[in-house]
Amino acid sequence: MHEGWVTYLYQFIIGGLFFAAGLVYVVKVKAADLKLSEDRKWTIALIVGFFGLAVVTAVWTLLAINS
Amino acid sequence: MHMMGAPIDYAILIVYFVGILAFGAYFARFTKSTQDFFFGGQRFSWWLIAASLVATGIGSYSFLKYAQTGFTSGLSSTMTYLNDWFMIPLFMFGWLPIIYFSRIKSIPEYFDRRFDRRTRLVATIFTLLYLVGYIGLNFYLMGLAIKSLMGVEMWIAIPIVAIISAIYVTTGGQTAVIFTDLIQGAFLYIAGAVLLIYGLTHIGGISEWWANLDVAHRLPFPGFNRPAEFEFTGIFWGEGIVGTLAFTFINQGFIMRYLAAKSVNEGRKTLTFNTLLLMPISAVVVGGIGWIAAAMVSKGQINTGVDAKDIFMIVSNIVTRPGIFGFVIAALTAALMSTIDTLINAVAAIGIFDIYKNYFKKEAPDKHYLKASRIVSIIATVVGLALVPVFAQSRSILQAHYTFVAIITPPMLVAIFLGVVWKRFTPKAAFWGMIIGGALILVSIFVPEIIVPIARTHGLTDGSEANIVFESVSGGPIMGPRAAYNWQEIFSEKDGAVSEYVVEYELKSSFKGDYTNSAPVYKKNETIDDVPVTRYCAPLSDLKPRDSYVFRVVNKETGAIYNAILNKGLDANKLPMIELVDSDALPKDAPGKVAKFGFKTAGDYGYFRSVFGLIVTLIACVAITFFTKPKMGIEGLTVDTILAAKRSFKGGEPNETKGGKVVLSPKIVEGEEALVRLPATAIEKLSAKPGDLLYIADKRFWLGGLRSNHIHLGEPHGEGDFIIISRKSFEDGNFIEGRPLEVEKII
Repeated sequence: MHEGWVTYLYQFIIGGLFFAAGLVYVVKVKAADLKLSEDRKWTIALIVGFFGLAVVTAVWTLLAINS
Repeated sequence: MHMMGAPIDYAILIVYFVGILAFGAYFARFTKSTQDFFFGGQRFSWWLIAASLVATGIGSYSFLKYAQTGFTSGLSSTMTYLNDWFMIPLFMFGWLPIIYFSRIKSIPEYFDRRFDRRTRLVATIFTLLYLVGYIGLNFYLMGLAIKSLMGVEMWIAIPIVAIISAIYVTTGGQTAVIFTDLIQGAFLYIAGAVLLIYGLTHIGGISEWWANLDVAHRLPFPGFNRPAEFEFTGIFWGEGIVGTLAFTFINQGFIMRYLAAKSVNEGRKTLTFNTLLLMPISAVVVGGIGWIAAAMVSKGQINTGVDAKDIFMIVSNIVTRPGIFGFVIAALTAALMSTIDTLINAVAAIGIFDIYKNYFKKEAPDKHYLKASRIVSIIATVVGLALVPVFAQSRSILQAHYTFVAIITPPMLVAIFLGVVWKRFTPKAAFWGMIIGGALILVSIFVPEIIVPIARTHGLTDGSEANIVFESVSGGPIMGPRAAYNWQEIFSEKDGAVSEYVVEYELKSSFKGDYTNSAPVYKKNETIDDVPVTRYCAPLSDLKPRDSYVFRVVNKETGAIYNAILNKGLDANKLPMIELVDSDALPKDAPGKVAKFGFKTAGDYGYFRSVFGLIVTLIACVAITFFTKPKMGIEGLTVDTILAAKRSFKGGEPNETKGGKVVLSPKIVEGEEALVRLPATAIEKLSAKPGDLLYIADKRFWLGGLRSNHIHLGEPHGEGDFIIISRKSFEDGNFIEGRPLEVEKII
């Protein structure tokens, strides 16, 4: 595997663990109350942001290695 | 070349300085209280705060630093700007609502309310030293940048910028900071974009630029654990995890900016927009010149022997024209001012809330504290200025400041983080955990071996591996060692080994020969500007950090030809230059003259020291907690008790039902009380109830909340379709008579 993909996977798997832990924690203690529409909206925004970054970076890595 | 700047460059600078001074000073009229001075009255829109954060986050040295990183490491220089998202949930739903709803005014104040006074005192001292030092450091680095770019002496450039910044911060406070940052942020972006466009045009377009970057320069991340000065794992842990937490949890200037937002929700918009869009743009703006330079080297437009730290200056000079150059210099000073103004305001906040009000004058009218805040702002600027000659005089003092920041950041961060997420965490654990953590980090500076176990988990070495690089240019003397950025790229096993040369090295303290080693020399030939250049590299191993070595470049047939001594020791963060001591001994068949060679260790603890600090402080804090008593009455100061903070903020049960907005004309009634009343239909549209906190603003969105106020909703009225508002509330909001007002419910 190209080193570019090793760093990519490390970034989004280990980073994803931190992200998920933080998100689960704030939901569990109701700091993010999913019954409230605003909190629900921001929770979704966080998740979309995470996967958006992951997709953009994947495309970038692909282009860097293959073009 | 227009190194010293053309007259038009200076004209642009003067116009910029006068303009920013007048613009900043204008906002003095909106600063009537300490709440205005430090938090802009908590009234601003998300986009204004986001723009301000951009300008604050980019210092004048960011252009120089990231241009260098972009040159040496390529597009992966963006990594430090793009890895914040992982820790954002804790800030968005934890720390931000806690500080906002609990009305925390400074980081040390949180230490007091969550822990105790002595912990606050430690935090106050640490934070003040850090911030004031940074004011001086920013002045100094800006002075260096201006001097290298324009030839203007520091003692002229720094006081001019300092006086302008101090005037508008002292008069206009946070409001002036935010609005001038908007202009300065725009300036930074435009200057960065102009440089990029000129640079790309010079190269021949985007396709040509991309084609002239190698794969390593195209990737979004640097090598997994190399090169030592910019490697992936260190940046991930040091910047992405520890750095992001530090920036979001204990950076007083950053926190104050979020506290200036009109609501927590508005802060979340700022956070999202800033992290996902503006920070990537900032990364391009500050690193772009380096990326251009890397392609220019590949095309032979810049000598490959160029010193990476000068790359911003070199490329700016090549690609810009008079006028544009002045614009770039103005942007550099804008970057400084927008960082300095935040630091001055932050120091003043701590000076007033944590020192003056806490120890000297506990009860006084707000006007007194406002006056004191302005005086402290001036003092902060003067002290920062006084530090410039200190930094300029000694690199070791500059290094000492960096070291101090490295020592205090992880302990403060752990204490505040555990305080936020763990109710059981005790004041004694916070205090002693910080002391123990800081002490162990200090020890790690003198005994870096204790960090090795952590660094080695990611394949980092302890400085025991290195490359030495030397070069020869046919027909002339060489200009020094290769820059470190592509040593490993150029010299590898696939390059041809030079069988007749070998590098021998031994411990200087053991000349008797109890430690000797040798490494093969690899060779690469290049042609730069039609001049043939031969480079040689020898990868060394089994070196011992902080020892001194003797090196010999040996011709295996004729014996030793050059000798050198490394006396500075293997400091992983430094690049010592090693002079050859007997270059006269060059054999006639040596490939040109070798004047000196560079040496770079592979290990770097810079990032992992912060992880080490985090771990040891965490262990100390957790261990002490189990033997000490927790503090009672901390509702609203931990993530699981935010509801209590909301109740305290509002003065009643929060109403979080989603509502709309209404636009109505004001009807002013005389009165000294804060009062606003709305018709029943409007209240229904807002989904509000009497007692709810409303945000009322001038309808013109582009004011960003400059004319606005938070007021509790009174009983509904039946007098028509307008807002009844008291004279005091109207004036506090800086509203203009006749202008319609937009109303929304906050909580």
